[in-house]
Amino acid sequence: MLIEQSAYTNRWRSISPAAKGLFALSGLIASFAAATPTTAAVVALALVATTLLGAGIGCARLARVAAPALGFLLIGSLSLLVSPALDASGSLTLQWLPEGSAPFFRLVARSGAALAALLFLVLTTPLIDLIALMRRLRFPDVLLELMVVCYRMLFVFSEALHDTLTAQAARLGYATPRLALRSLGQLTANLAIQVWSRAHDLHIAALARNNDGPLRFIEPTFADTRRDLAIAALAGSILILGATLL
Amino acid sequence: MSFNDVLLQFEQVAYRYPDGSIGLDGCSLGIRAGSRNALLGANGAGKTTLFQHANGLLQPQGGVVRYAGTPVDYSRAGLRRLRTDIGLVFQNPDRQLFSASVREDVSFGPLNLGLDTDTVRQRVDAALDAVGLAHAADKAVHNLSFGQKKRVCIAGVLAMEPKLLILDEPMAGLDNAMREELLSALNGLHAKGITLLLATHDIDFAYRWADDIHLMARGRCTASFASAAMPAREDDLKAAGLPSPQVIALHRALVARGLLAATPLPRSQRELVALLETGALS
Amino acid sequence: MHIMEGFLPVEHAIGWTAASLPFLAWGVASIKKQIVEAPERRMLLGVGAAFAFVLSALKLPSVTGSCSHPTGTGLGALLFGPAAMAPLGLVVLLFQAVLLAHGGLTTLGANVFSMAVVGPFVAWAVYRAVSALRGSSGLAVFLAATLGDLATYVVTSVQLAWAFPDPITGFLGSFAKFAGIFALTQVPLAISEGLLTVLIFNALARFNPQELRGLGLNIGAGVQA
Repeated sequence: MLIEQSAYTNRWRSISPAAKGLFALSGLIASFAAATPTTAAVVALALVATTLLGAGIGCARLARVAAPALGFLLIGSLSLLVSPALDASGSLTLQWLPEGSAPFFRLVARSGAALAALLFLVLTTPLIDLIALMRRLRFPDVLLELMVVCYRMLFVFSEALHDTLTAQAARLGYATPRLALRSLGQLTANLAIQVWSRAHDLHIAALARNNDGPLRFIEPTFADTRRDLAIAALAGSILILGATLL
Repeated sequence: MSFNDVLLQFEQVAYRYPDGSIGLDGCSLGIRAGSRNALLGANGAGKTTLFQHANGLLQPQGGVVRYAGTPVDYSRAGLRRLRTDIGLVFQNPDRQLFSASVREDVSFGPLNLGLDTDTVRQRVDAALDAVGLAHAADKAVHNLSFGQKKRVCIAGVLAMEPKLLILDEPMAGLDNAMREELLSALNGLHAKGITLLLATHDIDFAYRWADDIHLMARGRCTASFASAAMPAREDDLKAAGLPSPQVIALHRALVARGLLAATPLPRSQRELVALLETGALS
Repeated sequence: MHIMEGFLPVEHAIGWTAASLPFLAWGVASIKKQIVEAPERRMLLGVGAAFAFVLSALKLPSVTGSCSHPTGTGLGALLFGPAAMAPLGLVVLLFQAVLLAHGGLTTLGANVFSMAVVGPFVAWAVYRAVSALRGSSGLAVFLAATLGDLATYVVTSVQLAWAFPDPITGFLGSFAKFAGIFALTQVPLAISEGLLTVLIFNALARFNPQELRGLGLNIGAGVQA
């Protein structure tokens, strides 16, 4: 997972997640508040520049993690250019819309800017920090516990999954689509059974460490949280004001 | 409490699992305060079941478990006290670490003890330091090596400052370097006065490291003896399906050829080599 | 099918979030109750969410020869019950946004509604209905997973069409556009996922009954409200 790697190794790893979250939120607001597609595009560029130059994320990596979402954006937004109609013979035709390309550009610019804000946050902030931030923001315990356990266990499952996939492939389990579906069925059933046994073991392990209620953890600490928050608030305000006024 | 005080005592403890299989069958043994203990037995001999009784996760159906002389109190408060003093580290890190953040996971136990945040932070730092992972506090568990994950598990229990630390096959799956690191961490804990009990399949390691040896087979605690008495207890080892430490046979052969004295008894290859080099001839 | 970050206009983003909230609140209340009755559930749903996340990263060969990712919506609804699926799905969708840039934060509400509310409820209702009509369990599982996926896809198309009505043909024209585009991937996926889910249940049935007893809790046990 490329995003995950960047989140732990980027230059801004030790900056308060609250500050990074505030800046990303400002970016999202600016994307939606942008007066014109051009200002939204400027917001997107500012966010991308911060990610590349500030946090030191590589250009190629940013492009790779953005690619699937941009694919969706292209397909989804192109449909705003055309309108379906039934012609005299009853078959479906597409016609260009009289509004032209304005709605298309508006959507692409807004969505692109919002995507840039999301990518800034996730490429600079590990999920453990984001969960701790959500804990500070008083998200319900049940959701936080779900997230903590899910984040830890998804790597355990992912490892088990790849081991099994390799073992199955080595025995030609994926030679044909039919075999592949069968192999996947066995693999998934195997993992599904593990859900119960692993949950049981984690529960016992929690009891052994004297747990008899919600799962509690200490918060990570960050140096200069106040300063970081002030900078993020300033930068975020400039982004929002710029997007609405320009 | 002196060295010879028994910290944890099993008396005729019996447990049968709901599916009918035997977990413990009249098991008796004692763990002396401040001692290093190795529990040996084949897979399925009941080692994990014994550990779960020690920590109050399982309650005996027959017999009694005593901690510091008093029978374990299985009320909520009693279990809380027991689990504060007896820490249990399971075999597989992927089945006991549930936060991806090293610092968070280690903080879990001490927070359950109801300690304040500052104390918890100190204990987390001290525990990570004790297992040599101070630098990894802000890392993600999934980015650590298997050996490091095992040490995080130990730190998570150490941070609760137990009097007795129980480890289920701590060496399993570790390469040599990882074993050495773990061993030095364990010896550091022992030096601080923590009583250690660990399950292992490695008889050579048990012989050179432990003060006391406990053997299990088919749910029975078949023998307990001082590690130094091992050469005289080879029948007990055999009965539990265990080989003798290699150094015993080697030493015996050297004594028979007149190359070494019958005493002192070396408990490791290294000690044996040292004896040969100093020329302790008969 | 995930709607990407920033794609929906702000009032739609907020509206779908508001629409999902009651289901999330219900799901959270349901999980809390389950935890009181069986403390192990605290871990179970988190581990289940991890399983769903990993499952959704699998490449599924589809009937047309293309590859898609399964959603696990139907499987999850049958294993954990539809109520718990809203919070569980929220976590999975949030993680997909944060770890894979798949979906988004502003569109989380809309995606939760289609994938973690409608999909699981349809899957569960179809399973109950087919079982009540004495259909075979294989058919019930297949239809539950397939129709759960199709319902998700229809809801997503509705969400997009509502947000971007066609200037000439209105909502219906726009729905036809979006549904048409995504039908290419989503319809074959739904069928493949239906088949896969049947295979999973068949494989589960071969495990020993001891293990299945814990597993079977939610199959046919009704909504755990």
